[in-house]
Amino acid sequence: MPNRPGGELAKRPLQFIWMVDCSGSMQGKKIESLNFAIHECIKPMQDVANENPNAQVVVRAIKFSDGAQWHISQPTDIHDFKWSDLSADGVTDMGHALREVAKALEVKNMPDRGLPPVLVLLSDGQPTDDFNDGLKALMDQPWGKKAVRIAIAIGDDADEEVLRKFIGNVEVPPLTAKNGKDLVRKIKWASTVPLKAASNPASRTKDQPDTGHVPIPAPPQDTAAPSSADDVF
Amino acid sequence: MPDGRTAYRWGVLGHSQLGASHVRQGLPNQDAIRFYVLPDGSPPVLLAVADGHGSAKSFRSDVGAVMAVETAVQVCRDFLEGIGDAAPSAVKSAAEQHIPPRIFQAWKRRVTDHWVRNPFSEDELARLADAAGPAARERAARGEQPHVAYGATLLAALLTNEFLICFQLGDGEILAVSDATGEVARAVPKDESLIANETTSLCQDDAVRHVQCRFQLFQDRPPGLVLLSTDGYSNSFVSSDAFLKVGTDYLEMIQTDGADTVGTNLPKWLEEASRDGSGDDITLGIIYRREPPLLKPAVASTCESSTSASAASGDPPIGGRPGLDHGAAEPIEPCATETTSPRSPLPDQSSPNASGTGDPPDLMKEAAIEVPTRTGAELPPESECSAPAMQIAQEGGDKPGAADPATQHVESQDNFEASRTTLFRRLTDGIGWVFGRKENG
Repeated sequence: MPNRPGGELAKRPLQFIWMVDCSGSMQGKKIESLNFAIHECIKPMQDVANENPNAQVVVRAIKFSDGAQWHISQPTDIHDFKWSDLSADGVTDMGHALREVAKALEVKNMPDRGLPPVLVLLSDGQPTDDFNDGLKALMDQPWGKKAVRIAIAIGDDADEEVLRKFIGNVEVPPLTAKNGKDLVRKIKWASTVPLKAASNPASRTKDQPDTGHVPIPAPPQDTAAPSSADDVF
Repeated sequence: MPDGRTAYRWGVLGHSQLGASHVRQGLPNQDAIRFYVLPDGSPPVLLAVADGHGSAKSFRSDVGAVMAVETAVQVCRDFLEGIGDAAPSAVKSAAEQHIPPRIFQAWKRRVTDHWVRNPFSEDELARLADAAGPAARERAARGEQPHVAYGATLLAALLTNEFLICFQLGDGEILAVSDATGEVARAVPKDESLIANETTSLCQDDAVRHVQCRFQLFQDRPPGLVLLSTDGYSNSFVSSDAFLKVGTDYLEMIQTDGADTVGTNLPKWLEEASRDGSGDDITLGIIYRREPPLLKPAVASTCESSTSASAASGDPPIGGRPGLDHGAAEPIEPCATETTSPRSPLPDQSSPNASGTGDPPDLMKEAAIEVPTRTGAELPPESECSAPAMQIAQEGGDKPGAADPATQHVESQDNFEASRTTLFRRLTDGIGWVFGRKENG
């Protein structure tokens, strides 16, 4: 029997990037809950990846406070991914983080057969640098523009308008988390549901206002009750 | 230059494989394929493949894909019947101007008619709401742009004794393989903007602006193979080169093992590609030359060593480009008159067919395409329509065995979900490959 025609077969890569606000206001309950939540969602993300074995999920993370730095710079297979806790201090240079992610998603760095990337932005405040410039840099990249972008507003002081601009899809509003338990729940949703949607090989019509986005089921908008009085942000 | 009396014969293989991810999700195959070739393999040959989007908003794209390939083959057949003995340059111009918009309008009319006779069910709308939100559901329930639910890509090839015309809307690949040099070329250049599962589509109102058309006049001999595939296939390979290798490998296999063997193994190979690669539905159609028989693919050095012999006989020099790697992909150059500007709108084709029979609209009643007839030995200038990448060597030296002239068709082994309609294919001896369709009760 002749061999299968063609060269080596491979799954389609899917980039997942955490973008985490590590400014001073995140100190305490917020950053603790965030670290806990990301630890907790590794297994569910692995389960999503196992349910979609034709997608190779690789994860990175970038933090921003004074400037932006890659926390996990190497795209790491979700099955090998480990989270090391973040600490918080400094301002909120979100624009810088967006520019760094834009560089990572440049066409030359991305496989042309890749699935849409998933970007999850978590922030509790207002950007202290040029957010619009950073967002433009991201959206100027084809892979940035086609990425599934999710945002979680932590506490009452987050700039939801900025987060809406980042998401760029009126059908997917920013999630809000008012307490630690709620943040864990929202992060779990943000790490699994968009991932599952982006893993689907289904096509979307290009440049159409209502068909261009990867369809995402409506995110939960209700707020989970805090586990204790101390749990409220 | 073929004189129109050269007796080329062709065979066609095709298979559409349900994707591994769709098997897991219990979804139907959303690709489709249709081709037309006479039992004796004489031209013309028509081949069309389509990829239904399968997204939440294109929840009837399996139907849309079938209608796309059926419409494409019908429109191309009508076109060929109308061109008579027209000059190639006139054929090219007429094809670019008329075929895409006619396909797109006819497709839209067919899917709209299907929606009128089969309104979206509550189940469909509920699944849409779950997957894409309540706003999407409301738009669909109001009947806004129902054709979006049928969205699909479309690739088509039309082959005669003298030329190859390719059309592409959306992702997927059309490859042409020279049996003289083994060169694998993209008959239509890759659209680099189509990434991350985004594609242009039949459901776009401005689809004619996005379609790519390529016309190739055969310099000496037509290609050995023309392959059309949906993007599930190319997305299954680790690299572009790994995918393009299929052209070389299929050529060699058809030449050495025969078309029957390739056709028998096609379902297994495509299933493996989906399982270990993209997970998507995969559809592949291959037009292969039966007469003159396929030559063994020759490396560049072999071609060069044969040049002096064929030149001495008065034959045209063997083509191929200096420094071209064996099996490397080179795009077929577009004609100088290639345009992507909006086409003139066709006359209004009136309301959707409401006969309820499900028959396609009668395209024969459309205004005839007037194409200037050929006068004398009129040929287009080289710069306009030739494609230097596909110059084919004259036969000479080693002459391999002929491609297997036996069974040219392969019955597809699609795995369809029992839904509103059941699609089945039958191979006939009369007019090639025909889709049959029956409505569930």
